[in-house]
Amino acid sequence: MVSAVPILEARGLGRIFTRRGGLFAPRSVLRAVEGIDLELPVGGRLAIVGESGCGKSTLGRLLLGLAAPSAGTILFESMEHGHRSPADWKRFRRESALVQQNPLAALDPQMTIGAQVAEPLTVHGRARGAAAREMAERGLVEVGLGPEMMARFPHQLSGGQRQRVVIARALVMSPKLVVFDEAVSALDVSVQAQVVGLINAQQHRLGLSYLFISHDLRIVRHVADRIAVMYLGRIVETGPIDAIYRAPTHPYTQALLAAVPRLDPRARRPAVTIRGEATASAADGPGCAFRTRCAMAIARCASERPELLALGDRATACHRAGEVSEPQRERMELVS
Amino acid sequence: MSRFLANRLLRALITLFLTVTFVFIVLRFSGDPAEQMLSPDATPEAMQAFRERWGLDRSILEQYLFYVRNIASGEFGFSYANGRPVIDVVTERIPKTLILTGAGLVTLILIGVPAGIAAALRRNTAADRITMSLAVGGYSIPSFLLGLALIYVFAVELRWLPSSGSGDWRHAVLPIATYGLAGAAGIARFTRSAMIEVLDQPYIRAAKAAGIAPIEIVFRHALPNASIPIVTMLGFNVAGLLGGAVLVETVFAWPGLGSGFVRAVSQGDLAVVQFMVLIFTAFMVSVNFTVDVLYAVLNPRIRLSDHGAH
Repeated sequence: MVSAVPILEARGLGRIFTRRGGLFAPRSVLRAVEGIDLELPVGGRLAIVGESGCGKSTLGRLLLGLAAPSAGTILFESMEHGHRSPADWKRFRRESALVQQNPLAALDPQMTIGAQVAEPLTVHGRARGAAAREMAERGLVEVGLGPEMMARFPHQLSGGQRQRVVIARALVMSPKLVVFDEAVSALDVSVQAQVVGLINAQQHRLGLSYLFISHDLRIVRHVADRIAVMYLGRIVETGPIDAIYRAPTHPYTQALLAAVPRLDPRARRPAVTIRGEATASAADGPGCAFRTRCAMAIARCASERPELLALGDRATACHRAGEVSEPQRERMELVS
Repeated sequence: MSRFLANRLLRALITLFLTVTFVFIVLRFSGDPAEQMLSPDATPEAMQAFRERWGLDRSILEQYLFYVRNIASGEFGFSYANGRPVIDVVTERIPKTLILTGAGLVTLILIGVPAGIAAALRRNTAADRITMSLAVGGYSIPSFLLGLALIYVFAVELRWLPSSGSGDWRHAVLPIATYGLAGAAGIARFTRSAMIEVLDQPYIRAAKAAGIAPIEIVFRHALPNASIPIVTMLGFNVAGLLGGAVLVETVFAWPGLGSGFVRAVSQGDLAVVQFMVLIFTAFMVSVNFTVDVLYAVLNPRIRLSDHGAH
């Protein structure tokens, strides 16, 4: 499955948003994404998780070339985004796709479902007229929607149906790379399960490589092989999803996993909790952005930013990584 | 959609009926037409004869029923001022006004909508700021003042165009420009904000991610969706053009409904004023109805509302 050359690669990727200063407001800089390195192998399924506002969606847009990075490079099949000619871009668009969060807003309210699903086919000259409609219809059937959907408008569909349409449109060109940005977050849990099943089925069928951006750790486990946890624009922990879930080493990952609701009522309450909210200014200084909410923070965390250090096939950005193991969590619980 | 349109049609008819009644009430209570039309030293017999001739001696209710019946049967009476049938006095002015407002509408759309689109696509650039400054300026200047300024520049100083009258096409240029520039300013601002709103929608990002060319995104996805609020705004503009006719036609001495209305009011020619108000109202009501129809055509949520959608 994994070939030598990753399908998608990012190095030192950063994106800064500046707000112009007003009469009373100073000019402010928000580091939405900073210093991101990632590799997505062919057929890879990478989950990006983190709280809202941590830069996951911005990262997805940068990787798809829908927003311009302030720093760093992105390579798709070894070609840098920054070196693409318009024709190269068009080819990239043909081979990549985006599935967005709110499926109603992601569909043009004035266009029929059929026209929207067929549009990429005609734009890229893959098919036109009746042939394009037929392919669109087949694409809808593949996501479990009937041909009667073709003539409908987005507002006539349910949320789950709309999300299937968005996925059908993303997959109609048989892309190599898909970014699912909170693709199931807006759906009911039962519908989420269906859409997750659908994504898995399509991944098997097409051999997709994808990024699955989500804040929901329960879902992510069912759709990804690897996970990258983001906090305030940076990756703080990454690795194979099973290993990370079994033994998270970064306090933030631990807290996220501890906060996942469990079905077992006898399961113990989370041992690690985080206080307050993520404050973007915490990412500006020299130290660790998470230190302001971290129960484990020490003096060094305020003065020196922890690098993302590799340990086998996983990596963590924490000075105290590894110290925070399972037995220690139990002790922390006793203390608190 | 049929239910939506039937509903709007019923509303339009009710508006017309209320206007008919309102016009009657206001005009009957705004003074004695006999005193206004005849000279102050007219004899009581002459006044009486005038009232009898126009049916002003009957009870208000009788006059009202008579009036409604006449309107319903297309009888609008005669001008108090010159005895000609009101319908002739007014209808000969209608084409004059329609030429100006129609051409004015086309001009304001042709200038305002592209300017707004261009500004939205170049948001926060110098081109955007210049366009919007011009638009705010154009929006702020009263139309009659703009008309006078155009007369001064193009008729008085440059002597390219006539300042007033309605002989040939050259007379129409300045009034049309007045309507077009004043209206374009508002529509440009509105088009810009409507386009910006739509361009920020996720389905535009989806279209971009699908590799659809920017120009196609604008004309196939953004503009059709922005056109719903723009069409609504254009409806107000048409209403504004008709209202503005009172000023603009007077400035350019253009013999349309607007200047005719000013004349009829100043002469106290009740029968003419009454009919003109009805004509204006009918225009407004049909513009509103047209906007509603377009709205339904453009918006599938309304168009398909009878088919069991949520």
